[in-house]
Amino acid sequence: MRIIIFSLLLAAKVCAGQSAVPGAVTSYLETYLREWRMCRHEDYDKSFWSFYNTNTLPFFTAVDINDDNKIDYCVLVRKKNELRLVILLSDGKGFRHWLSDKFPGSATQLQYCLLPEPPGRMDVAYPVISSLILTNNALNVMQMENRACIYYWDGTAISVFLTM
Amino acid sequence: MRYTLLLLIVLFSCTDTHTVTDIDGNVYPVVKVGRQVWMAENLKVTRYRNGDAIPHITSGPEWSQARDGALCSYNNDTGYIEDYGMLYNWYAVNDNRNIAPKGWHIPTAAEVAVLVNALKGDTLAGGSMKTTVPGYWLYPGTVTDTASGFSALPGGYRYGLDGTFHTLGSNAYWWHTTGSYELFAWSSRFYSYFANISRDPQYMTYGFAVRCIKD
Repeated sequence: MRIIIFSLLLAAKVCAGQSAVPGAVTSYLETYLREWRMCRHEDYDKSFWSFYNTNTLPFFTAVDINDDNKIDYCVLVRKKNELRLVILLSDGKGFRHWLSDKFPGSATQLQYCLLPEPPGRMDVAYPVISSLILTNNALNVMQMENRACIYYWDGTAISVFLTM
Repeated sequence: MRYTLLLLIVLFSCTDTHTVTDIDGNVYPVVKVGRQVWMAENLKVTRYRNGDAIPHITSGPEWSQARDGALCSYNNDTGYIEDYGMLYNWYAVNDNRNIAPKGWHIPTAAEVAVLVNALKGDTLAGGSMKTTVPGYWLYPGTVTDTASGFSALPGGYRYGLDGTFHTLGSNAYWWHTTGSYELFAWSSRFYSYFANISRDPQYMTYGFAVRCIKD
C-alpha cells in the first residue's frame, strides 16, 4: 500500500511539471548559503534515472510546510561530498532558511528525492515503533521508493520523523 | 390571446438551470460534467432543508466534541465564506434533515468516481477541477488549460481532534457520503483516501467543504 502511495506521490510530482527552480530560490542560495551548491541531475546515481523521468527535479520541491499560506521551498544542497537539506521559509516578501544535519551517503551518487506529504497519520516500526500525525503539509525525503524521513512543522520549528 | 397566455405560463414555469438556490437564499452556479450536474461553488448554507439551524461552532474543544451537525468558516473568519464556503462536520452532511438544496444531494463515492472518469481519470482530473482564477492555489502550475468549470479552491480543513484549521491555499477537501475527496496544490492528480468514515469514525469530527450534485 505504501509503495502505491509513494508511486502516486512521485507521479504527482511528474505531473506537476516542476521543471525549474524559481529565480528567488537560486538567488537566495547564492547570497546566503554561498559555500553550498544546489544538487544537479549529474549528482544522481545512474540507477535513479533508470527509474525516474529526467524532466523532474528530485532535489527540489515546493510546499507550505509551516502552514502560513506562503509557499516554502525545499532544496538538497551539497558541499563537496556533504549533503544537506535546506528549507526556505517564506514570509511573502523574502526567506529565512533552515539547514538540516548531514545526510548519510554520498553526495555524488544521490538517490534522494523530495516530495510533499499531505496531512495524515503514519505509523512506523523501524527504527523505533512510533507514530506521527501530520495536520499540515510536510516534506518526504525518499530514497528511491523508500521513505527515509519526513520533515514537518511542529508548531514552532522544523522537526524530523525517521521512517527507516 | 390563448397563445400569449400559454407563452407566459411556459416562461414563468421555467427555472434557471444555471444556478441553484439554498434555503438561506445563497445562489450557486452549476456546472455540467459529463452527465452530472454539480454545484460550481462550495456550500454556504446555515440551515437544514426544514429550516433548523446548523450550529455554528467556533471553539476548538467544542468542535472536537460535537456529535451532532456543526459548521464553521476557516479560521472562524467570516471573510473566507464568500470564496470558500463553510466547513461542515460529517454529522451535518449525513443528517436526515438534509443540508443540500431540494433536488440536490451529497455525492456518493461512486458519483465522485463518475466525475473523475469524465475528467480523464484520477491522474489528470485534479488539474481540470481547479479554478483558473489566479491567486488561490499556491502553485498554479498544476491547473490545466482544460478547466471543467468545477472551480475548486484550496479551502483547507478543520482538524477533528482539536478544532484547528489547516492547509488553506494548498489543499481542498470535500465530503462525499462516506469520506473525503481532495486536491493538492502541487499535483494535478485527484485523491480520495484521507478520511474514510468506515475505516475510522474519528474523521466524522473533521470539517470539510461540501459540493452538492443534482438528483
